[in-house]
Amino acid sequence: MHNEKPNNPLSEKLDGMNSLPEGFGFSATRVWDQLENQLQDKKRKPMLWLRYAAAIVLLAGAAIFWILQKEVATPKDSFTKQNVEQAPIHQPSPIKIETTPETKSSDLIVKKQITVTNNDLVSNQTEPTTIALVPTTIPVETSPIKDTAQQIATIAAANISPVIATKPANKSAVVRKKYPVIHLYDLYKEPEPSYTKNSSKKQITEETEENLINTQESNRTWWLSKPKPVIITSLTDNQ
Amino acid sequence: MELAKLLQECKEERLTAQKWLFDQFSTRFFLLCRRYLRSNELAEECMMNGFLCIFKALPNFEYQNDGAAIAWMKRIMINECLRSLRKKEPLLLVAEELGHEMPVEANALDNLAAEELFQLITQLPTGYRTVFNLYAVEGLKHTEIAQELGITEGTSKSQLNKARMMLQQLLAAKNNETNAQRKTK
Repeated sequence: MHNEKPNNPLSEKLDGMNSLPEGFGFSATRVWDQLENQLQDKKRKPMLWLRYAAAIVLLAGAAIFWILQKEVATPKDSFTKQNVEQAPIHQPSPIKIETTPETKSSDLIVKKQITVTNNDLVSNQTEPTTIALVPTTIPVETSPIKDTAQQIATIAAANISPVIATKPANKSAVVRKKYPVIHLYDLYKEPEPSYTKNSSKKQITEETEENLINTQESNRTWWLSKPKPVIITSLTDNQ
Repeated sequence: MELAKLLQECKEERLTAQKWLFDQFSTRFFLLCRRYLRSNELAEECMMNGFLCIFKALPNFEYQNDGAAIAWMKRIMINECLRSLRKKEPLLLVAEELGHEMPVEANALDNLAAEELFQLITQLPTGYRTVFNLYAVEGLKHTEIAQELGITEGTSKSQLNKARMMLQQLLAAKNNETNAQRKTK
């Protein structure tokens, strides 16, 4: 397309118009203001980018400086996460495995000696801890209230007697006499047949009525007569 | 201020020079835009966008003479108007069967004054007006117009003929009005 056209009478005539005809008009100042704003915005754009870039660089620099300063300022003995991680932790000795292959390697049997350290903090002490018995004496204080002679005596006796702390595990050495416990029902039981122990041969005496009577009579000190069962005729018969 | 110096200062993005250029060419370019567009507001908007394009494209422009520089700026304005037409006023141009140019009185429009001609052109429909402006005023060929507007060459010719006929009718009507006014006086 050509920038310059040959002379055109219509074009020359229209281009020569320097004034606006009736009914056609525009506000030059308003259009220029809008145009100026757009031109200013266009100029501002690179400045904004420069500012953003400068801000990012500043932030990055500050962050690096802060990190470096933090590393320098922290003493080595301080209790930081890094120091804790680096500190030698008392680790149990590793499992020591000694392997001595037997004469025949083809057997693939290996003698293993495993040394395992006990890391448990629980003590294996079996004996109970001893507790020293300390007699405690509470001094008698004279109370302002006048007690009777008997009361004073009892209080003094109570105070003098030592308080002995004993461990519940250590039971008193006093042997109590054990009595056999017999159930009430067993009292009415008939005695079992007795066998002679000293016989050379095993002689089993037959349980006849006579024998039973004899044995019952002989053991009468223990045995009580069996009560007769009460027959209940009716539910209302309480009398 | 000379146009060459003014354009050079505009290249350096000096606001005063840009204002000078705007003041010098705003009326001319507004009338140009108004010839293509229907309303004053659209013409204003197009003129503003055209000036922005001029200031943006100035660094790549090489000054030769005033005529070429003004034609370059006019071309930018026209392109802006056509862009606006494509966006807001789609050209409803229907292809005609025959695009022959009809015999029109040759000097009918030449005798008119600039203002009369301007007002007659703005009364044309969008399609006729655009083709007439591009062909009769800007001096483009039908092939160039067809390329610009995305139409066929025949359509361009038919639109131009119809525009001329309509202009003659409008001119005749105007002449009748003036004659009637003279008679009444």
